[in-house]
Amino acid sequence: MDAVRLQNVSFQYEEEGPWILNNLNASIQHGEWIAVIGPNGSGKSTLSRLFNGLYSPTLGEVFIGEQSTKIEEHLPNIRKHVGMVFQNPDHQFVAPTVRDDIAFGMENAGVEREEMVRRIEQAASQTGVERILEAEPHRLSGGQKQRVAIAGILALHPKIMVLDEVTSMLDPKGRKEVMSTVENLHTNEGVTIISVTHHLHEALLADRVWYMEEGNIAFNLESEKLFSELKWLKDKNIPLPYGFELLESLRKRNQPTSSLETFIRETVKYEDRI
Amino acid sequence: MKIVFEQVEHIYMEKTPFETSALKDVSITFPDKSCTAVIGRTGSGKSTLVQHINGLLKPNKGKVIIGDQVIHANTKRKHIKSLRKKVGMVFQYPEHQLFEDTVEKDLLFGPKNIGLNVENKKKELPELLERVGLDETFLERSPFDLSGGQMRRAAIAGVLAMEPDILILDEPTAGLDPKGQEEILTLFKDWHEQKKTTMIMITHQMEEASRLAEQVIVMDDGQIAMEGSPKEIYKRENELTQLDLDIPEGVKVLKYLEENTGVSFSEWSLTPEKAADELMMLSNKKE
Amino acid sequence: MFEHVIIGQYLPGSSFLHRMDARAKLIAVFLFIFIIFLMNSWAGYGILWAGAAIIYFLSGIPFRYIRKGMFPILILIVFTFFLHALFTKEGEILISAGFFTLYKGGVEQGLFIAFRLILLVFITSLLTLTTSPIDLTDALEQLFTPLKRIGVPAHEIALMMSIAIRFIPTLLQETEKIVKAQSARGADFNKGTFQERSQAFVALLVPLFVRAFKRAEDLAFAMEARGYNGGEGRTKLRQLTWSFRDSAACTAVLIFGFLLLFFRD
Repeated sequence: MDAVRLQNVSFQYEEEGPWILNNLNASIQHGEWIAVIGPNGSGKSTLSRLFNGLYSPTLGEVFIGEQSTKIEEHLPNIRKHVGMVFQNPDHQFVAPTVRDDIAFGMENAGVEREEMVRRIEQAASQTGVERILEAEPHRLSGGQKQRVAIAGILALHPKIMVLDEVTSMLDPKGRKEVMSTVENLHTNEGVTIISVTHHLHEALLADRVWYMEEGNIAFNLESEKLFSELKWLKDKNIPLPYGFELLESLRKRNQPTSSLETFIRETVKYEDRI
Repeated sequence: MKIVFEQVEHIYMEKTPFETSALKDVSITFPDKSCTAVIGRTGSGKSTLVQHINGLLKPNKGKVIIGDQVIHANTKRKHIKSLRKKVGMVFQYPEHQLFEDTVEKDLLFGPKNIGLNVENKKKELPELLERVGLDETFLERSPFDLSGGQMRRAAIAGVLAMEPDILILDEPTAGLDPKGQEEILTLFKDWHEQKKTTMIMITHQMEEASRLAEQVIVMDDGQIAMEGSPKEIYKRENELTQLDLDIPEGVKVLKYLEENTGVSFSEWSLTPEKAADELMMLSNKKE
Repeated sequence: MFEHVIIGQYLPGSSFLHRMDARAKLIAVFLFIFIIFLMNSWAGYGILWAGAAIIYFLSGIPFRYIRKGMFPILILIVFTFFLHALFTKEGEILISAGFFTLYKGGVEQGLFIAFRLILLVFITSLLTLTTSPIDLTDALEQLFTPLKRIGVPAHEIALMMSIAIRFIPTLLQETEKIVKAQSARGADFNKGTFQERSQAFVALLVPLFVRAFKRAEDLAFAMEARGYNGGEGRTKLRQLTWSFRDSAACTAVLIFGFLLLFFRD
């Protein structure tokens, strides 16, 4: 059983409106990390909102395990299993303190109070926010708020976590904090991760990369193979990070590149770097 | 226009229990027509520093000299207002400041406030829009119907329309995709080269600093921790790491290659193409 | 600049009043206000003042905070005093000058009304000074839950209040930022003709509203994504604990009020 399956999924915001997603077919294995990249307006963010039924596909179906997001009765269960973190750290912090915010999802799911208290401690220590449980949101950094959002989802013991450009509004420190947290969850807890990102570096952390273009998944390949698609990306006019550019330039000159590849792969890892 | 900070101190919420000193004895010069990048972690005082330049903040001690104008703790409001004609400021997420029902009106808001000739300005708007990557068809559109990237450009144009002698940019590329970042950066680079505007840019990204600025200021805890050319700053990698700052990826990659292949590059600001050429030349030589 | 904002006027502390259950405080304050409105004699008001003083000493709040809360309504109090003093024509005449006559009953009536207002503000100030807004919201939600049957959306109101409280600092930060951004574009919020200034305020308010709507939309998505589906079947992390202290305090106020009935005219 796949963790997620997209079956002939198309989406438009309104009838007669443009098609944002065109007949997508893809699946995600349990424990896999998918990075979704692509230019603005390619449908990445819209896609991310289909996974827990915030949007329902206009045509086709999205399956989480066996359950289709089209069926209203499945949604509470799906939302327990598919956690979602959004781009703006400040616009998803609902409660007056960190502790209350981590509890919010559990309160909605009707978790018993004693159990809640236990899970808050656990989720907070997994995301490194255990020392700021009483803090109010306006005293937190963006990176801290994003980790609180992740903790709130973790407390529901999700199988899948969808991250919609969660680092794009953060400073370098915040980005490191958040990405290392995500890496930890992926490696140690086996959470399936779908991360929408602009950063090719972040894509290298994933197992597979979906490149979105005009509502299609233009390529879907293992992240290892990203290095061999650099020319393709360049032709799409996507600015590449320095290391990638250099790789491509060396390749054009028939120069060896393997040590540079290793270096890039090593430096993108955030884990253990904090 | 030259900007000089002389022993500037700024304290937020003075004489309350929440008193915090945001700038401590800062002295620095931004030469005329120069481009400076100000970097530092969140809360290090970057924004506080630049907001002194157009009088949004006044120093509690010391003075700021902008061209022939001096700002100190007791400077009157009306003297500060004339600064707005000289200093343009692009805030973080500038698209949040759009408010008129058409882009044209929004672009004219600043020029009108500082008393520029509105009719003349109107004629210049199509060209200005071209510069920021939009075109004159946008003039009649509502700023709120634009995409995020287009809104950013319109807001930037609204500041450029004021023809400032000094341009301050507070993380102008934050939240954009790599392509958008690249385009916005190029836009300011071109503007600086053609108009010779004195420019100061706050950024978290060393790459941006090295592309645009000839001078880099690193701030920490309300003080200036480092000051120099980008190249001089990158040499102090350990100190930068301590301040939660990264050296540009390019420098990191080239340093790694130097250590592992025994080559040494002519400089660290090489483009990837040039770096590849040097690598090839050097490895051919070895053989 | 706004990061140290204190929301509402809550002053954290550990006094008797601080430690009371927010529900008990709400009930006690409600009873106290009820008593205030029943009172109509000098002796009664004297005892009420004494009661208020005792409650004040149980709060541990420095007096200047109370004074600060009183100040804005001072004009209202003075105004209502004169209104009643001048238009109540009862009892013996104190001063008579032409068309202007001051009756004893009028002065008495004016003072009573002023006392009522002062006591009212005093006691509610003590409530908000010693109770965090969130505890207050929780207490309101719980006290109003029985009213759900007659269609009072207790949970929704409480959630709205707590979100509003949560976003006050955000709104202040945003206001500051936009004021600065428009000032940098030459807008003047303090000076200029009426037209210039209203233009400046439009330049502030439009972006604030646009942002607020965007934020509301994002927040709605975030809440839905986290399984929010109304108050039905929800559990709560925050617990209010009703202790002996709370029962005692409420009983005391009740007895106090009952005894005061004997001092009514």
